[in-house]
Amino acid sequence: MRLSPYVIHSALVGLYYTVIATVLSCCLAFPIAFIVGILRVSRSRTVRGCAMVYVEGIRGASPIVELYWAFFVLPLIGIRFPPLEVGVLVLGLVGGAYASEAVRGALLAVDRGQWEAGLSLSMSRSSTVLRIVLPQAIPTMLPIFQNVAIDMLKGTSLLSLVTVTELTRTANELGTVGVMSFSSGYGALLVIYFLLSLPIMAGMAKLEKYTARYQSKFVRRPRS
Amino acid sequence: MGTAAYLWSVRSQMAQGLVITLEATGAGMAIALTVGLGIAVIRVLKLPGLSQVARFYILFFRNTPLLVQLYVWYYVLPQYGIVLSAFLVGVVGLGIQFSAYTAEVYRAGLEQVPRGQWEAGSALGLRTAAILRSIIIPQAFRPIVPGLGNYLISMFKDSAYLSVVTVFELLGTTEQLAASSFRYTALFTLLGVIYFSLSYPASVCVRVLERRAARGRQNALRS
Amino acid sequence: MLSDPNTFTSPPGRGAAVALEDVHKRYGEKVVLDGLSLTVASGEKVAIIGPSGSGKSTVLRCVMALEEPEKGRIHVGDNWIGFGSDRGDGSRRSRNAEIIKLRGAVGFVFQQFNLFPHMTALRNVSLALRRVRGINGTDAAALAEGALREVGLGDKLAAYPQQLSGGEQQRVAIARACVLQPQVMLFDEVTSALDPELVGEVLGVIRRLAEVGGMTMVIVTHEMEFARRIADRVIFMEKGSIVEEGSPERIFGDPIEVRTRQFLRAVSER
Repeated sequence: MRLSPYVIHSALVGLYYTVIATVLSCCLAFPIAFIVGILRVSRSRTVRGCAMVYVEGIRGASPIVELYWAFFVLPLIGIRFPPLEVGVLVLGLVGGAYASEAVRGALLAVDRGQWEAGLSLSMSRSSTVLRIVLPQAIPTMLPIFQNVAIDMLKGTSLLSLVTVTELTRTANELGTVGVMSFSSGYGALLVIYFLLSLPIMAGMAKLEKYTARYQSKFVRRPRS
Repeated sequence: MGTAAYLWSVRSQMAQGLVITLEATGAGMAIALTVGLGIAVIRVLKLPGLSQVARFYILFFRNTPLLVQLYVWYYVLPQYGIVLSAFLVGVVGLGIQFSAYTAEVYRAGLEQVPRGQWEAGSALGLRTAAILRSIIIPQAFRPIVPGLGNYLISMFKDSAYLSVVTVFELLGTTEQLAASSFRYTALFTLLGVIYFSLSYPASVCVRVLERRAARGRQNALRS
Repeated sequence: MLSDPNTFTSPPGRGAAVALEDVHKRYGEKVVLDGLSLTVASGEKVAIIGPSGSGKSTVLRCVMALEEPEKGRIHVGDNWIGFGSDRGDGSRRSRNAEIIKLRGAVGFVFQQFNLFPHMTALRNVSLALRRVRGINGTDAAALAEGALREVGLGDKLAAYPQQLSGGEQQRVAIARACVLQPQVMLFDEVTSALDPELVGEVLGVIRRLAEVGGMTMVIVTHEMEFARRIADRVIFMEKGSIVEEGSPERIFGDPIEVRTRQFLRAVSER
């Protein structure tokens, strides 16, 4: 395959859309994850129930099905978004649902005594969650957040099916046009995705190191 | 024709799609379970050289999109003279992708068996393979079941990707029907309902199993 | 702050400072509190002793509404909360507000300290001043510093809990509770998790608090000598009920009930 300007341009456009879609999906997914994760440990059964419906509903089918649903059905009920926006919305909602499970699990894993200490100081439940329990839960969430971020990256390849010109679609088109052989092209594409995942892993590792000081494990054995 | 009547009229096609979905899931899982076990054993035994390859294998297949992997299998296999039906290509793709996940589940299960069990086995004069087979794997079994169960459910849902390589499982069937009848909303909503009504109860069961496995571990430690 | 004798007297129009009225608490099948009633007068120091599982900690936790009894009422000063059939009418939200108000008048020190590991000692103590009482940062820090000096940790303001010994952590916990100037202080076996040589420093702080006068204290403890010395009244509990109560001299010297004798004998034989 000759690296003609056409190929380079297409590749860069594809890369641009892949990166943008990944970033935007994450920007949607992580705030949703925190909000929904916290709602799922609420005292109100109604609130917990609604959050659960969202999470279990999204988890009920795979993202490719949900993307198709959004792409085909939403316009028919009057919601018209450009393909990229629809894709980012779906990916963000999916990522948010899965990441919220990490938030919920991490919150529940914080030692009960921390909740009680906060409440004993007559802090409200929400204050206790935000200022005391959540900071201590963050190190536990990070590994799953890393997986979700990489899932967002992988999810952008699905957007090729709904006409977004990210990397996979670029490869489709280059192959169809004949500039590139499918087997080596897709193989290279796989390697590119792998390389793109590495900065995400590095970034998360850095974040893990930075938040390690919030770990409450130390309190168990006080030095005498 | 009303929506309900239409959906009822296509029930046999949808049922066929469901059958293909289930077959793909089963076959894919078979591959994932066997290949994954091999990879996990390699990692647990820390075989030189192979261990690094195994680590890279897991990382590579976890970090790359299933969609692109399927494309690669679809186009690359024939180049090496392996001509498979689209269904089998899809099954291979699913199986290999999920083998990276099952390998990790196996590894966690194997590693939580206490070191002492290995030592006891060697002290009795057993060779590594025998220790694995008779002592370690049976003990690793219970905690890994919920983990593998979760991936089975995921694979059931991700079987939808096979529609991209021209397999007419549920999603593929739905797309085909929708393209000719234009009843996108009804069909895709039905699709969602079918997936949900199968995967959600299954995941509830897995969660029950998880809780039982956790309790079992606590009891074992206590006694 | 701690040494100001006027700081901890309860408000005028007092009845009891703390009272439990016919409180029932169960964990599944197990009955932990069996219709327990208990009154603590303002300024009184009460020690609760008894074997594990007798419900002593649960009594304290119910006062704080950290456990919700199936039935009964909890009084703190002039406020009370009812549970089960004694539950008043009122929305969820007003009830939550009541509970928070109740907790604001009570200080609690935990057996496991429960300090916040992501904050320094100073911030641990000043947190509630800022977030609950709305005191501004500078004033809160000053008050917190004062409280930490009172418990002998003036040089450890910037230390994190994991850098402190168990005794130091527990003293921070006491400062954290005291700085809010509660009407009642509850101590839940606060030395049981400490290495023996650190117990003294914590008991010393509690004794000073008691001597300052006016503060109502309920102390669940295994430290019999300590209970004998600072308590005005000792309560012996077993299996969710009060078996016997009276002055320390009587309970430790000449208990009436057989079970009390048995318990004290078992404890002294350690």
